[in-house]
Amino acid sequence: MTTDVPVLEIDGLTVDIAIDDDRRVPVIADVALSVGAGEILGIVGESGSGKSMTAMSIMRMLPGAASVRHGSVRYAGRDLLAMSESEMTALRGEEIGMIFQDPLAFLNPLMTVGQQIAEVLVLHGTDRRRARARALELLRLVGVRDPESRIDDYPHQFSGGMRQRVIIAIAVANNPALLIADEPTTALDVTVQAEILQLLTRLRDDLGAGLVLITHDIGIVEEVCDSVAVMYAGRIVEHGRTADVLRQPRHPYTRALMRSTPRLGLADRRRLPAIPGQPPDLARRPAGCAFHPRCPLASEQCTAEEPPLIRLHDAEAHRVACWAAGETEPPAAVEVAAPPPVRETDPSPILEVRDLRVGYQRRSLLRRGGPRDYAVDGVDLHVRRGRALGLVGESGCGKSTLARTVVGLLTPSSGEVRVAGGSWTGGRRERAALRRTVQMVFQDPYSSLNPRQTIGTILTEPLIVHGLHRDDRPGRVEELLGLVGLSTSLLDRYPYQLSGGQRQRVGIARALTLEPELIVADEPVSALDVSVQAQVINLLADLRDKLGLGILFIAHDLSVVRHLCDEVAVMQRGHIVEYADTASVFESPQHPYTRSLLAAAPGARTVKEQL
Amino acid sequence: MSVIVRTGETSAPTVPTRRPQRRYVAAVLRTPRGLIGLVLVVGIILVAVVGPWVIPQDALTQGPDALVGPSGTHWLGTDEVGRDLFARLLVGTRVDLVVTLIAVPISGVLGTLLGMVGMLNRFAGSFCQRLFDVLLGVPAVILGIAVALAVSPGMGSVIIAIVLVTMPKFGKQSRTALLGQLPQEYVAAAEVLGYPRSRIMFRHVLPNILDAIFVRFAVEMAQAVVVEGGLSLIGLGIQPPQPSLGAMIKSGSTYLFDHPLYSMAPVVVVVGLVAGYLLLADALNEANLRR
Repeated sequence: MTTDVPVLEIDGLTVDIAIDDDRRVPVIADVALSVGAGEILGIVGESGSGKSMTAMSIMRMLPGAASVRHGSVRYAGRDLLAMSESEMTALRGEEIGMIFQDPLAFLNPLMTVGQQIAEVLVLHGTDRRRARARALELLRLVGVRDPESRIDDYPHQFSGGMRQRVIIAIAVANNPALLIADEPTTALDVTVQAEILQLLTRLRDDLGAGLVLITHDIGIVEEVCDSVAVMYAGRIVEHGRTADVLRQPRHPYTRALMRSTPRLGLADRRRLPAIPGQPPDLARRPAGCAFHPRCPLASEQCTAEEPPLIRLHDAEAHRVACWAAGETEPPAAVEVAAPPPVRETDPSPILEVRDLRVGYQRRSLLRRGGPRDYAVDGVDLHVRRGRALGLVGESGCGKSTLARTVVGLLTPSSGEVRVAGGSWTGGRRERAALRRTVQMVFQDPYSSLNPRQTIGTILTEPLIVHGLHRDDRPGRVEELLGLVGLSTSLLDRYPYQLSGGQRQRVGIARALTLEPELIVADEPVSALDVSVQAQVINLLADLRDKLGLGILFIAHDLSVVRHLCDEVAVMQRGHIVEYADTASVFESPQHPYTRSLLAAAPGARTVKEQL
Repeated sequence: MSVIVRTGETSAPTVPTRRPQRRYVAAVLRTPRGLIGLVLVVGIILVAVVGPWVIPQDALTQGPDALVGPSGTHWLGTDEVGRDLFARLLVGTRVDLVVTLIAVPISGVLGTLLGMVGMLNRFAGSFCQRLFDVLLGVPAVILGIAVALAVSPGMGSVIIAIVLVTMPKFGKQSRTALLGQLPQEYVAAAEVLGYPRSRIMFRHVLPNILDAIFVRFAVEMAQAVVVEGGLSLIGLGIQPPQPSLGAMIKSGSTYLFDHPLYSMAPVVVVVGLVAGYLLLADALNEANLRR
């Protein structure tokens, strides 16, 4: 598919960023890539890997503190870095289009989508009347149904997926030769994500443009990309045709990343192989190969010398930066799950939800107490001690409302929530006891910890408020940190000094301070990097088995719950549409919605092919 | 309910040694605005506090030479009853500082707390907000006149007037900041952990809105200087023979053409103080945004 002159050619690109008045650290180093016409290149990596910085350098839209040290970015043979700002402005939107992650932030709420599409056309020389006709054509192209009636609508009248289509329409308005998409589907539901990916592939075929697709999800790469570059700590560690790289990954990081990604194809309740440790802080990048502290194959050479990205002999254009690229990993790296404790066959339920409805009052101008909209509409479920129930659904299905009702943050309109026999509607005593019985782990490890408190304070405070462990609070806090695998050296740190994974562990430790019997985890891993997700899922599984906790685990993604949960409930528009043990949900899904969720998961198709 | 996904690309590498408070002060002082603002405010305060002890002239002693120009003994000249203008300027500035430094902290604490009351009781919360709306609707000087008429004009009435003028703005500020914090998950986490409402309010939310309150404090210090000046200018502020910046501007305005320094010197001090506070507020605000 690749023609001779690449649309985009990056060579030796090095960008650094000021972290202090007088300190600069490289965020990407020696990045070399090329994209041909009609080719889709995936750049995959975790946060801090430099994938977005690479995209921003192509567009010359680096944040103020960052600047290009050396290297070149050539578009159709012209050096973008040497261009004047006005030449660059002319190229952006005309020949190079960009698609951003957050479709709502990108669109102007005060302009209709038609105006916004027309704007980019008019700016690049189309006259107004033709621009409107072209905008209609574009909306049709990106799959907006009945574009004549939608063209004068405002962004808020579109759903997330439709907005992303509008953004894609803007990006391709002038038939660009190069498209850059930075996590274009990350903010979207799985089923919508599948549609957008299909659209991007179709546009590549129709327009023949080169596409750089930046993602953290290796499943997406597998599905749509012709070639892939894996980035780690600012460098490309492996690069080649997707088939070569994913069938025979040669870099230990690529292998580990593929293994730790939750997959539908894997067996139930098997521990996810996590990558130990966490991605390095750019300011303290390890010497030699940046991956060596987490690598099972690390040798002395790896700690001392940076491996160059070299071509392998067996596959054309498959390059790897690893001293041990030829070696295979010792098989001992597979973590053997501790034999599950003797499980009761039918433990007693810790949480019972019966015919629960949670409604929001619809406010009308003239009267209060009008009809209610039910976010949760007649839900029955139960969680047993020492078992985990996965609750899966897309955004807006009511799963977070359900979670917040279970922990007593919201009041049910009707129906019943009983935790260990107690209810939130009971007396003061009963509610106080419930507070200790059920705890919550939150989604966003950035906002769920008070930024003004140290980790020590955060973990000690619940003990003080509830008057627990009066004699040895520091000892209890140490014990909690041990349970979640954190070192006591973090006690004096503030949350912003911790990585996302560490913060989520603190969040779990905080939930455990009051020795609860039920943990409600609302999307606890969706904000974390793939390699860290696996660690947190495994930690929850261990705690469930060790402490006999009941867990209500909420996720938008079926593949995540498979490794942890004993039972799965699928939720759609406030109702539970499927509720069964994990194996049957995955092997013989009954409801069409469950089937569509399973089919939409990235990598689902290829996994099926391999099976 | 929606899925928040962060790619985390913006997470800047951090240096874990310094405490956030110290970094914050450093960030304020590093900007030219912050430095100039601080130098202006601290400089004026120092001169006003130390000055009257150092110079030989007294602010209240009348002399034979009325309305003379600047000289070696009278640096800024004298007023209509022969009192040394420089000494009066220093003491007047000091009076101003005392008034504002009593009034604004009182109004800051009151306003901030009343602005947060809504978290404990919704009805009390909206009552406070409506009260603030009413107070905000009345022009500052009219409010000051009303206070001066109700209690007798003097330092006390000026302080009450400043509190009434600035408190609603603290109240609005703290409510806005509070509403920004409530959706944060750490608040829900505190509730799930069974912390009492008042504890969540004071131990968790308050520390997180303080930086916004500090900015407001600097702005309202500037406002207070202006209110004092305005009230004294119409004779309802600090009463003679006690000097104050506003009173000096008023009495000096009669001699504006013959003896311009009389009223211009206090004007310069007022402008200096107001500019200093506002620059400081600006720098604080920028440091907050950067965090």
